[in-house]
Amino acid sequence: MTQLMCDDVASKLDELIAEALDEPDAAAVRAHLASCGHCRNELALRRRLTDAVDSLPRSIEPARDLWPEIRDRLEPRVVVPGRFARRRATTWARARLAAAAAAVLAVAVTAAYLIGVEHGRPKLVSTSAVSAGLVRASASDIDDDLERATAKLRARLDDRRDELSPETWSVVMDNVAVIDRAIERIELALADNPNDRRLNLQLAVAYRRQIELLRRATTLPADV
Amino acid sequence: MTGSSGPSTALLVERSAAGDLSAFEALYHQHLGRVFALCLRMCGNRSEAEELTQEAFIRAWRKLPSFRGDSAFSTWMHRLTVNVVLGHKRSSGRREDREAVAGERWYDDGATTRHNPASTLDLERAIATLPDGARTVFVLHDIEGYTHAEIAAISDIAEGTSKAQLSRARMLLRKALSS
Repeated sequence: MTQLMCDDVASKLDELIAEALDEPDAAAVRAHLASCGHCRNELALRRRLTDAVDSLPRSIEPARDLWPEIRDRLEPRVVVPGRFARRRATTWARARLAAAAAAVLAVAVTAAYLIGVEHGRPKLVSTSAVSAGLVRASASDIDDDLERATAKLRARLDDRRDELSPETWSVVMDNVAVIDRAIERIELALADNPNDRRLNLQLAVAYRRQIELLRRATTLPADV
Repeated sequence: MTGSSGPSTALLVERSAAGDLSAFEALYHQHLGRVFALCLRMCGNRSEAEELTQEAFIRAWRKLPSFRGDSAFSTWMHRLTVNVVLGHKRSSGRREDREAVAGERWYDDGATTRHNPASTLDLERAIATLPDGARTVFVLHDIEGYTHAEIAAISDIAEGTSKAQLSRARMLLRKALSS
């Protein structure tokens, strides 16, 4: 059995507690512990922490009821057939979807405007160059990753708020809001038809547009 | 969060997704404690945790129509809450030294301390005073059971960074508990 030094043992104690060491390593650590009071003391401290963490309550109630404030901030939802019904999209849903798609396209024009601003001259951009890879992605696949990406970009944009002119800021925010609404509408339509390829594509396009818009906005020169 | 989605939860989710506020209020009451505990431990500040809890439920309401039931609602809600807190941390540009006094604040109300033994409070206090990155990793890994790979993915950090932060957090907590 290999003789271990205290530093080696210290790096393995957490795994020993979690019973994640393979047997030869565990035996070597136990042999060291048998003759080292310092490491035994360290092990006891770590066990104490592990036990304390295990005893933490999983649930903590806030000191006040948060529901009234939450309720006041909830947007009323138009009642639509739930995903459990698995029905085909309603005419209403299709109309909303068309509006959402139109909104996304409208924002693409703003993206073109921002690209023009970025380079100091107007510039036309193609709105059809959507990543083909996104076509195959389902909403659940893309949702979390893209949401994280947009949150990160929004945070970066917030940091630059003072650097951008009020006009540019307003254009960006208005269009971010338009895409937010479009995403919400498409997700509502997806609740009816989760496997609808066209809907998933449109959701991917909407997210893509939002990321594109935010990315452009975060790289605009200061004092535009 | 209850940890299971029985028929009643499924029904509440379905009704909430269809716009039923009273069903959503019932879901809120079912999951409030877990959501608040997660927010509180991740941010170390009670009033901020209340805001984040509200935000998590508001986002849940907005996203419920796209909840597909692939996982339990409690798991979905938990993940959504983690995303809300991490998004907030990124957008608010929090700095570790700004949070150094957080531990003096979050547990200072009777509701959260009433049923907790002193040793638990010592640990909660110590967790709240951890540096932000170390606290996030510790809460997600040691309390919530996330793997380093999962933490790395949702926090945009390297797996090695997650391991280093956890090691740092545990060392600081051991020091705090033994002092």
